[in-house]
Amino acid sequence: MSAAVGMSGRRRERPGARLWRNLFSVALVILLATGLANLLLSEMVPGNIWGIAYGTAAATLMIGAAFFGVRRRMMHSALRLGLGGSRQWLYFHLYGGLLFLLLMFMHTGFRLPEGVLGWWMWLLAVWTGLTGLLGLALQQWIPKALGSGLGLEVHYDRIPELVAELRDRAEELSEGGHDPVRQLHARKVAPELAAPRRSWRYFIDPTGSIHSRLREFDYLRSLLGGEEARDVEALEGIYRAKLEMDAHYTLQWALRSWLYLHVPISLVLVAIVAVHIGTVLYY
Amino acid sequence: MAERDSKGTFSDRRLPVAQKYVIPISRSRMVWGGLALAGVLLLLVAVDAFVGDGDVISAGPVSRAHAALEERGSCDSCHVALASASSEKCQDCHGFVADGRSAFGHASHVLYQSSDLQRVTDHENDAALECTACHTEHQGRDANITEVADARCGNCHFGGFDEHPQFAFARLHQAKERPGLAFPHVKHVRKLVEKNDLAQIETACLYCHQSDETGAGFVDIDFEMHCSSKGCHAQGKEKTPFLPTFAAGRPGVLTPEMIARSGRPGTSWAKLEDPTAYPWEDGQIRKLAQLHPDPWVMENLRHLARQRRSGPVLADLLLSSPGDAHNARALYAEAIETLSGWIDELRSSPDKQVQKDLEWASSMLESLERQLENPFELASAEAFEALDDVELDPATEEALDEIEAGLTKWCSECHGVANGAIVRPQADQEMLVRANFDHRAHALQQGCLDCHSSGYNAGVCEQDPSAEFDWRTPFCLYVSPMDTSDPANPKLVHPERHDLEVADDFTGPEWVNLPGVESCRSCHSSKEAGDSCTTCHEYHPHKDRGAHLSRFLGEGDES
Repeated sequence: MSAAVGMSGRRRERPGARLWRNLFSVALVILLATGLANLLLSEMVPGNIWGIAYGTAAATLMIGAAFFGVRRRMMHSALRLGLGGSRQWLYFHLYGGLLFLLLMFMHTGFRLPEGVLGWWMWLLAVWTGLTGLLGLALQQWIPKALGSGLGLEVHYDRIPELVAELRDRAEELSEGGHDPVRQLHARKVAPELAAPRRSWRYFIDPTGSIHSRLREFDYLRSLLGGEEARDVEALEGIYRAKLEMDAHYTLQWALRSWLYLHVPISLVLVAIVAVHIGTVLYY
Repeated sequence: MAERDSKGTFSDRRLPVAQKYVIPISRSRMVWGGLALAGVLLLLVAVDAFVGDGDVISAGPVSRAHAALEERGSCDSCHVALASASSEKCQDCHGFVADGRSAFGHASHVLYQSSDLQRVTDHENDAALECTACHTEHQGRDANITEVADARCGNCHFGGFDEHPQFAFARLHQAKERPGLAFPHVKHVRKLVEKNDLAQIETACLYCHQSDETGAGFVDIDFEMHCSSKGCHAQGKEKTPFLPTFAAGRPGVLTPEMIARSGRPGTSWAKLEDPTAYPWEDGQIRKLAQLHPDPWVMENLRHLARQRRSGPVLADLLLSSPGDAHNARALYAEAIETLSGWIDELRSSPDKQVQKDLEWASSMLESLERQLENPFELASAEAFEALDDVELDPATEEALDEIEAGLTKWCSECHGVANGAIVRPQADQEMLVRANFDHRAHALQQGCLDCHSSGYNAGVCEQDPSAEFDWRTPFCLYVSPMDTSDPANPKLVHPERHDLEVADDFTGPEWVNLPGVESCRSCHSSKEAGDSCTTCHEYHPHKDRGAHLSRFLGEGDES
């Protein structure tokens, strides 16, 4: 999702981004104008022709947006069938999802629902919309945060293995080193290298929190000299790498985990909307 | 390490690159988890729908009035599968609604209080409105489903009170009302204030405008109660001028003896008349001590009218002209009442054939009365139109006019007389035929003259006497000075311009002092007294008459 930077330094937009943004803007204006006309000419309630139209459009957009997930799981078939690129589906998912939320509110007349099913549907729609927006925000921010401040890029699934590698190297260094180095390893480095750790501090300032924790190494190095100073510097490098891996471990986890908030609930929402449509048609 | 390093390293820490392609952890469980949750939910809904009481799939609790239906746990109480909550189901409790022609049907709404069948037939092809089009359920226990938003009315009518057209009485009659009476408000109010030494002008209003039982409206104007009880227009004091009597080839009035001899229906009173009440002079007769209405005058007016037309007409059954009666049913009702009176007069007849005929006539009248109650039966005032289709020579025409003027000399002080008949007065004081106005609710906060005066009439009184004015009596004229320089002919003059006599302009019968819609708007808005349609209008105007209307369902379908 991060925008590419061109030769001139200006942000270069992804293909189709402007088209989708313009389409969304036009659709938004049309919807708002329709809503205004609705308020002037009639009531904004679910049961009249306006409300039914909003509900039908919202359900259609929801189904369309949900197909993004299907499209992601059928890459080869999608290419063979000419269903369009994944990015175009993503844009439809994003903008269609936002319009779905607006249409859902218009369908309910911007009022809170009454029935159990209505409440479930309303809460799940809001939840799905908000988690979708959260995911969008995380995808915009985390790659930039990880790419700009940290000296290490690492695959999330390899982090435990690489932490173990760092732990081995630190132990090796400690065993062959002098007392100050051993003490520093035992007190500060070894506990940190025990396992990858997530911390909320990385959400606030990924690089700043690492720098503050390395000050002790700078201080110790200025007191020691020769081989001991070099060992401390080596330990500091291992320690920094571990902390950067923790930052990745934390932020990449967030980047992956928000989907657990979004996808299962959206599937439940699809089921509830199906029940709602069924009951409306039946009754 | 050596083996791992063989694939290479990355970063300044020289960390080993992966030895093989790193396959991301599968997130299928996320999808399966979602599908499982959805499945559980569908199961819950199915159990609720087919085994439970349907609480989950219900769009919300129904209103308190229908709560018992919900507790029965049956959606089918109101809903029809693959359709909707149908009006047929509503009629199980709420009387006949399904055919659209009953108390709660669309036709009743269209028919409204106007009793105008044409309005129904004009809308015959409209899709019948389901009850749920206006009354939305499942809005919670405390929802008031009889409160219908203006927007629903706006689907067929105008959008809101801001766009409300001028009231029909003001729009159709344009600038002037025609109450059928030579009734100058200003003259009456001033007289009452002077005679009774009233401190408040509005007290004078109450002499004639007396509240009905509900306080919402007024009792019908009645001569005995409103005009003569205070001695203002006492009957029995006036007499007609001497008038020529009727003879073959000579226009004239019928004497009581002639009327009695004619044996015409409704003339039994003539046999009981005191001959001294009818003095003669030079072959002419007059009536002393006229009554209201005076049977001799009325019979002679009919006698004169018969000379102008070739045959009997329904108008002969009316006491006054049909006028521009907005309710033709009232004319038929009066005609039936007249016929009933005639029948009653003949009840004492010993002739068996007469009695047999009376039975037949009575049953005919009963049938007509039933027919009249049917709101879907066409009722037109055209049948009461009295056409003068006999060619009379000018001398006879002039003579008839003179006699007519003499007969109605006293009547015409208050009543209009046209085409040989008293112009029908509008006694009911009902001006709003499609809306309800509650005077009591307003009288608590407003005086009569807060609404029934002024407006832009103020321009007439305070600024430019020639300014454009509406049909309402300017309030200021009730207190404007009287020029009594000529005691025999006192004049009402303009409050600012005493040289300007305003009597001609404002004291005539057409000035009835009714406010237009703009007066209502001064208080009724969304932020003040409320401006919803249902403040004044009802969709179901006769909901208390459901059983009554249902009698006509079959007939209505055939009409």
